[in-house]
Amino acid sequence: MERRLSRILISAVLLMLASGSIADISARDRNEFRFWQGSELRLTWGAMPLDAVTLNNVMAGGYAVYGYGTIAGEIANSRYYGGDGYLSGAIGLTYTYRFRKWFELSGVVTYSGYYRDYFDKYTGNLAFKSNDNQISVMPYVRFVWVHTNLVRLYSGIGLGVSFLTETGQRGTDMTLLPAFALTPIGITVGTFVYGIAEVSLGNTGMFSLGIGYKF
Amino acid sequence: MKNAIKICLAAAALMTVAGCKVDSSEEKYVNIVEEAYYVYCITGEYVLSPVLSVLDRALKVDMYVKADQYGRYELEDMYFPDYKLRLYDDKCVLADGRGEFVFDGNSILDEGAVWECTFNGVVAAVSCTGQDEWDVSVDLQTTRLDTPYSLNAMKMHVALADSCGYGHVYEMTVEGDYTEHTSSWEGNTVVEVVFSTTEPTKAVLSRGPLFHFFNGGFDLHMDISGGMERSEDIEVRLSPAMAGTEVTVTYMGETEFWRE
Repeated sequence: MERRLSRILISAVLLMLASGSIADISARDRNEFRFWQGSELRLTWGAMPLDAVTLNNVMAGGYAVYGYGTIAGEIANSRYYGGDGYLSGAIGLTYTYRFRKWFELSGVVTYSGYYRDYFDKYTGNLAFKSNDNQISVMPYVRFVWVHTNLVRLYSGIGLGVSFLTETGQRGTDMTLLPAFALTPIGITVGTFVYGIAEVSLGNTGMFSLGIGYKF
Repeated sequence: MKNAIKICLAAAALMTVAGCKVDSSEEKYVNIVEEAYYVYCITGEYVLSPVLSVLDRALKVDMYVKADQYGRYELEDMYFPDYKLRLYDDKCVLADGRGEFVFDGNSILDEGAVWECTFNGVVAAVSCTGQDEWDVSVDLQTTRLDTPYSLNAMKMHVALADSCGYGHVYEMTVEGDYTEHTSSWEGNTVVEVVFSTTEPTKAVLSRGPLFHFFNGGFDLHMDISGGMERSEDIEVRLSPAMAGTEVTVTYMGETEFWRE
């Protein structure tokens, strides 16, 4: 139990350090909660978003040999090999308006991408680039169930649309898909400038970290 | 405010470098010689095995013709479990229409005998040229290999090297060429493969209708046109290994080994 508490404390301290708002926090009276209607901007990065870009590329097969049944198919299929492939994760920008101390309404834009270069196996030269990009836009409601000057704990839900482009050897495909975010728990630490940590399911990422600015 | 800007920059830098690497480079898996080995496998599976099967079946039909009633039951179970054999005066027919062996009145083991044989789409005249030796002359007009392969030319001479419990071991000399026609999103591709044995090469029926080739070798030349032009030589050497056969393939200046 003590170990768990110490881990939580260490995490919280690190989060506050990351937000750089210790000075900001220490200047305020922590006992008196003050709510005012206003806006916030958040910049977040989420690991493992539940979106097409991530699902398609995490589950993609490796370098293919055999199985095409023909000489031409085999040679065409194994002609190019992939270099390192990267997922960007979900990079999110959120505008929020605080209506009540317990209720906030946001607009969320997230970007998720996958990048990989493919090379000709005979020459080793770059043959083509494969890029998948997905931009999601969604309204998002947030319910704050713990609110102090320093810490807010909240849950939220959002539903919207996302636009997926997949570019490869054969050109670009575009698809419109649904987007969503379900956040069972999120925490902000700080007053004007604050750090964010969230656990979510959806296009914003499974684990998100970020910073926000209240104005 | 300065603090806020610093934090934003730090966060942006973190996000840039924190992108997750989910796929490693496949460079280490690239094996150029693999496609040449594949050409050899296709040649063995779709061209050489079907033609050699005609002779193999003809020899088994000959055994069937010569056997008594009980011997025929045994041979049917051993060599033709999936077929119904119908024996007439001048021919033996596989009842599902997959084969027909027309005799010339002689055993296929008799020198000078010529049987007109059809088996699994290959139409060929099998002629006995000496003791346990045959020429297989394929009728290129009527022979149908499995799609997308078509035979353009072939000369095959086969000698019986050994007979054992699981069948005959042949020693084969062959040359010819075949074409593969395919179409894909890149367009129609034609692959022409010229093949010949570099020395008498042994073959034994291995998996179903396919032969395993060993102790010998092939020279192949592949010409690809339409979409991805290539013209390459392939050298295949088959040598005995501790278990099975070591297939040594040389292609585009590189050599690799496979164990079969």
